[in-house]
Amino acid sequence: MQIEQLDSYRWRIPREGRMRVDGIVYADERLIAGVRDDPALTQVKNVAHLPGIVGASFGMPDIHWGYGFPIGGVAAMDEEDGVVSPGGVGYDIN
Amino acid sequence: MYKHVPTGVGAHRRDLKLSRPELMRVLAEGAAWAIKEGFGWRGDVDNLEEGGCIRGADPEQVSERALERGAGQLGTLGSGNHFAEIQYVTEIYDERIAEAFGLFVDQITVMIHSGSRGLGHQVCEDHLRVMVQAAARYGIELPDRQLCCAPLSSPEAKRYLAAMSAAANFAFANRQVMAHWVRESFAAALGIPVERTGMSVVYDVCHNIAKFETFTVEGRDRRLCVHRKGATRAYPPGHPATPAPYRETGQPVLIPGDMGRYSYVLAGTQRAYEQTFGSTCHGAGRRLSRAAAKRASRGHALLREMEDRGVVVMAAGMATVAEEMPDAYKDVADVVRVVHEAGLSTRVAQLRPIGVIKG
Repeated sequence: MQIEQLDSYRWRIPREGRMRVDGIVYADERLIAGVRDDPALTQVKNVAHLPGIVGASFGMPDIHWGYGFPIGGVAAMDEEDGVVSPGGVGYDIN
Repeated sequence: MYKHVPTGVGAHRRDLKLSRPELMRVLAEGAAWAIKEGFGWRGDVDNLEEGGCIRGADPEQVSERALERGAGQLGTLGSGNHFAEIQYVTEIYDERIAEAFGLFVDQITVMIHSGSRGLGHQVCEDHLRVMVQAAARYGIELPDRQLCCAPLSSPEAKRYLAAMSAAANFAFANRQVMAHWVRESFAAALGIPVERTGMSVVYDVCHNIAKFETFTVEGRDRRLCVHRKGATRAYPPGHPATPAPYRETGQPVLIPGDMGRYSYVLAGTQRAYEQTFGSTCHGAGRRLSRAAAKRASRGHALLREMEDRGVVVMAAGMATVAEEMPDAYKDVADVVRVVHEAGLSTRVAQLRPIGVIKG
């Protein structure tokens, strides 16, 4: 997967194919190396495909694999043309 | 504390059993229900995210099965990564903010990590099934079926949000009830009235939630449904949703670490508001899967090893302790350093555990 370093703590998964926005992951070099081959980064990319997503699909430095969305994931959806996904909250609600 | 707060699968207190109408009120009112029933102090809700109640919750959208699972679980910690921890403040990184949060070095704190228990789990399960069909019906193409979803304007989405918010309110009430029992435990142990424990609520955060919040995007105010999954809200100084005592400092953010090392208190920032829809990290993140952690723990006297570190662990089952051992997690200090340096939140205090209760 293509990942570009934006600055010391931000990494960009550039928009491609049917992605609607970029993926942005917050991490230092060691933490990003630790998740490079982890499905969690693919999940950040997958979330970027959702209708109405605004800004970017975000990954926090504690990111790891979760159901659909990564744990450590943030996605904001437009009220009018966006969606809600139970996988974006998970089983352990609140 | 271990005696007062039920931990582990199936544990509950005989003196708290909810009738169906009461459970429906918990789902509608959240933490306010608990305080009305005597579990806590009136000012407590002021320091909870959303005041401890998400508007738009509709208990009628919660399935029979979910209600059954929830009826006996209010005021229970559960198992997995949930815990209640007695800690002390080891380090203050920002004196001004710490003072506003009421934190100082060597102070004793208690951190509770628990959620909506089986009720919330069932709500998720129920609605995933609906959403798989909804995504197909509305012609939403998905790279992964697990991302199943529905347009926010659809009845499926409205029903999910109403049920999920009700589960969130159950979680607020759950922690409020346990916080009350923690206060009672300290009062009993110290032989003083509960009011004299001085145990006020610093804050209570969600970290698995989707809710409508307003953000300025490209100069325009927009109402967005912000999904935070394993992510914490981190509102900046001056935000109207931040309680008055924290208006100058930014919202308190609680970041639990593993049970052997430390946890952190941070404060929200303007940069988080601008860059990540007011969001930051939520914890350490697993390094080992649960199964791998169990394998790695073989031959270790975990409770003894924790005691050597100065941490007393009391648990309903040793399997959970093995899954949750410190080595199973990344060092939360590394995670916190990134969000601090990236400006998503400000590091305020470090807390070290001395007593841990696990399910």
